[in-house]
Amino acid sequence: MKIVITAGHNKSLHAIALMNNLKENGHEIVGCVQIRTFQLKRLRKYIKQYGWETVKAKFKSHILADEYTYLANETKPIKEYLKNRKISVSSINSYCKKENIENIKLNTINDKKFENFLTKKEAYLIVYAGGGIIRNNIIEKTKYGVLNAHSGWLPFFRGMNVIEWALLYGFRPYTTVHLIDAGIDTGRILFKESIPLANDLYTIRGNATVHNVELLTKIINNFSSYLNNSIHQEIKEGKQFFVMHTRLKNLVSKFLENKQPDINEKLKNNSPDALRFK
Amino acid sequence: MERIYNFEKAIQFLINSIDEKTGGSRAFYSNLFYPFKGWSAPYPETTGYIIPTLFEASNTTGHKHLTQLAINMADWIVSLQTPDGALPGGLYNPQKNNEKSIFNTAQMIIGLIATYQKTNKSKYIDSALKAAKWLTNNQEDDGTWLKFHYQKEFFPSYYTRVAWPMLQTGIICNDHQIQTAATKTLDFINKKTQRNGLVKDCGFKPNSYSFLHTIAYTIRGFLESYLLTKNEEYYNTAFNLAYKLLRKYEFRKKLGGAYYENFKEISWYRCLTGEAQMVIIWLKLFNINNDVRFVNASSKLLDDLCKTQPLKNTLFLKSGGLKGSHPYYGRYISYRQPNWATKFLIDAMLLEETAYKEIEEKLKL
Repeated sequence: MKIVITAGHNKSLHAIALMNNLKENGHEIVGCVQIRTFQLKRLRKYIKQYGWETVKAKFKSHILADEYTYLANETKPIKEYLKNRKISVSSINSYCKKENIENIKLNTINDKKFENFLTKKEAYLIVYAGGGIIRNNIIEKTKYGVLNAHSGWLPFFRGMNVIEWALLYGFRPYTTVHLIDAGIDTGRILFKESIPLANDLYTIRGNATVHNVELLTKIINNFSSYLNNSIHQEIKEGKQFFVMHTRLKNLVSKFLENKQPDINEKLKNNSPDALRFK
Repeated sequence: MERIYNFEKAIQFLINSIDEKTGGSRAFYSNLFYPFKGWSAPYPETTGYIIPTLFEASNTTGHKHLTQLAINMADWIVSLQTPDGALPGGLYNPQKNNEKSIFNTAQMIIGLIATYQKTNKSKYIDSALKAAKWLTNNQEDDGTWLKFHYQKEFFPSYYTRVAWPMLQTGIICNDHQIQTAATKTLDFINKKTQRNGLVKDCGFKPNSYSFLHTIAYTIRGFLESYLLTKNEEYYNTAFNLAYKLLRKYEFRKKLGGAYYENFKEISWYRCLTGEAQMVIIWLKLFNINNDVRFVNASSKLLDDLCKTQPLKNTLFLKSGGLKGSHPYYGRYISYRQPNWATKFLIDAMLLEETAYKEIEEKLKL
């Protein structure tokens, strides 16, 4: 199956690991689309969304590979994962060059150039590894659409920071593999699995990235079977979550510290069906 | 308390707003409107609803003297009541008798009831009952009022905030006539809810935009009335509109200063007063439905509000007081720091603390 991968930025280890895994499993990566890292508009959007301190820490940890920010644990698991697979490249550009994968850079993911690229490459599937909200013009360009691994139990935990939100409500965080449609995290569900836990929030987020790579590979390896058994989401059932405020995040971190070492037992291992707000 | 510094400054602003002669709170601070003294005349309406804020702040902080200040305010309000039970509109002027006002009377009832609940003294509930009876006696059959308005011949939807204190009084005094009158008003206004969630005629003028302040008044009236009556229709109207504004805030990271009835927003200024009121509404919704997303949005909006609060005196601004609008020249209460904006900010900060305590308890931290 001809696959195109998206990447949020040139240093996306997540996208590199994904491309590598898929290639190793015999899939044909016909292209990679990355969103330009340094854009004023993008920077402004991130600052508005996450706040200056978080953006600074994310930049240091994800782009400069600084191991001394509070977000460093977030990138450790994927670095470890790549190291174990003896992948030393640290940028999309160098990986694509080495593997002879066509790599284009765009300002936004819904750019007309991406549409043309998909037509040219005759891609069957886009696998999402970052880059922003994808619109219909891109989704409809391939046979199967866009496959995404979302770090929350769908349909209940849609949107942002859903690992934190699940923990705050006392549920085990899950990864849900689903197809992207016009809504936010509302497309057909192919598979769900719980994310490996840890005693700090950022390590769990890091584990989720690795889990995401492994699950996507697993689903693509047997794609038609998962697609045939996919489940439609009831939009009314889900909740849209937004970026979590630092004060709530701190409570989640404290909760994780307090619950160790029996967190697996403490957190409910079932689906968050009980999570019904008025 | 996480925002203790902002909180203390806000409390100090409200204390400074108190007029020594009357004990009432002066409506606003503005060096442009009053270049010499800065403060306006006392405002009976907002003095009324500042009373529960002072009681609450006194209960939860070390400012025990706030209780007496609040009681003095209530005494001043009682002294303003006319024999038929009405209370005055506008800023206080000892030289003339201000016109009676439906809306303002109801706002002052909020303070009278809070003082009765705090002191158990009958004079406050007697005064509240007299005022609520005056409201009931002047009501039209359909639940509206034709006289004693802010704008002649326009019955605004934010009068849900008249129904709420009427319900409070009716329930405490077991007066069914007042309760029926209040629900009549709520039902009349609820029918004006549009498909987009906004309630028609939420603003000060017909066929125009509504400030976030009066939209929040409308929502709060429905929400508090739901808490008193358990009528789900009131809850649904309040929830739908409050949630819609939450989504707008989360996606756009800001709220409009005002909205047209088709939800088109005026975004060149922020209505800080309305934003503080929205935080209160979201936190009250959390108390009802345990949906932490409302606490999340509240904390973010409170961060935004605290960034605009002056923390020291400047050429134009008094320390601690929230501006009506941001920027200062925005349309809502331009160039002024109204006492009610700061009152709502304090309420919001107190409710936020309670919400976090509750979450911590649930997480067993």
